Amino acid sequence: MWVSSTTVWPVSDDLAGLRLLVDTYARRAGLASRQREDLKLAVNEAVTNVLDHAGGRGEVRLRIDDEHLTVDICDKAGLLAPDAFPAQLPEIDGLARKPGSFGVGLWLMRQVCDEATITQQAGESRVSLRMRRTES
Amino acid sequence: MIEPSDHGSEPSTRLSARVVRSGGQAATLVVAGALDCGTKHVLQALLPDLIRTGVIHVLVEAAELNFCDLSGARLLEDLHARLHAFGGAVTVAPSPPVARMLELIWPRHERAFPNLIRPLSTAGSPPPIRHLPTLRAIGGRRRRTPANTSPIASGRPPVDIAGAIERATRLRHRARLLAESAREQIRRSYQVLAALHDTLATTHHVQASPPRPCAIAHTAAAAAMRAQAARYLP
Repeated sequence: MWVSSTTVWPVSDDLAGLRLLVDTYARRAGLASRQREDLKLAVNEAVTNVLDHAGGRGEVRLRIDDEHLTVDICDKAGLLAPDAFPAQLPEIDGLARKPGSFGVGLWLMRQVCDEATITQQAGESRVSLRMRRTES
Repeated sequence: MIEPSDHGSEPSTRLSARVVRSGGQAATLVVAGALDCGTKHVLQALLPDLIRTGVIHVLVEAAELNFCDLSGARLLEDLHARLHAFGGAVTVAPSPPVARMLELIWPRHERAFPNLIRPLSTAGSPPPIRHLPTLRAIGGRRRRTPANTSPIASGRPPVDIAGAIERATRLRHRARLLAESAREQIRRSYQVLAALHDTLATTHHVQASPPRPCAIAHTAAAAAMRAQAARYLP
């Protein structure tokens, strides 16, 4: 299987620059417009989580293979557990989501990406977001 | 205000936000570019003055907003919550990519969230039916002055047909947004009137024994107001 080289990008508050990088990769991978928009949103939310909840230290890794574009968002806090994805849009006290509630970003990643997983090891959590390539 | 940067065909990564219309209790905000946690302060800065002037209904015209993340959506949710407490609301008219995200996270028919005006689908939309005034001169049959006697006519710049059609589409879209916003405001007004008649009916019923005829009239009027409100449901 062909795999591109991996681009490593530091987590920073330059979210616009990161979205531009993701868009460039997504175009190169031949993703459709809606997939590109969805992936930019998901990566944006994952990096925002690192900035807000993991001390802002981490990196983004992008690679393309024959079937997928994969973006890994790794943080150096390692607090995010594999079961952190909420199954439903987060509710509070059994009521519909209240405005401003949290956990929505992780839920959104699962909604818009073809695959979204979390792996955790000592000192690192990794969110992997994948989009299936529609053309090679 | 920060103007969006222009990098050729790349979407703007900055945020532009301005109040284009404000009168009485309603205001229209136009936002363009990208709304995320690094740019939301641009929009945030406009809100205190807007609220201070007594505005409780805000239309956010976001057709040129190419990106909005959760922190941007939360800013709109917070504004809506503040206005909702005074009987108002935020209505957002987003671009298609932003609409997709907002539709996912804002449950429909939940008053706690801003109203969403879904963008028109461009695929399958009919072509313009009527030609534009600028096109009338193309055929030349109605030209008042022959071309060979008018150096001005021969020196006319070429007609930008694509631009004119795009402008017409944009204006049609904007007209639809304003119409939908007006319908929503009418519906809410009828609901307020219905609640008012209900209260008057209860008050008159409690104060008078036997009940005064006007208590019955208020109940009927409340039902009529509710029926009117139902006519304006989306």
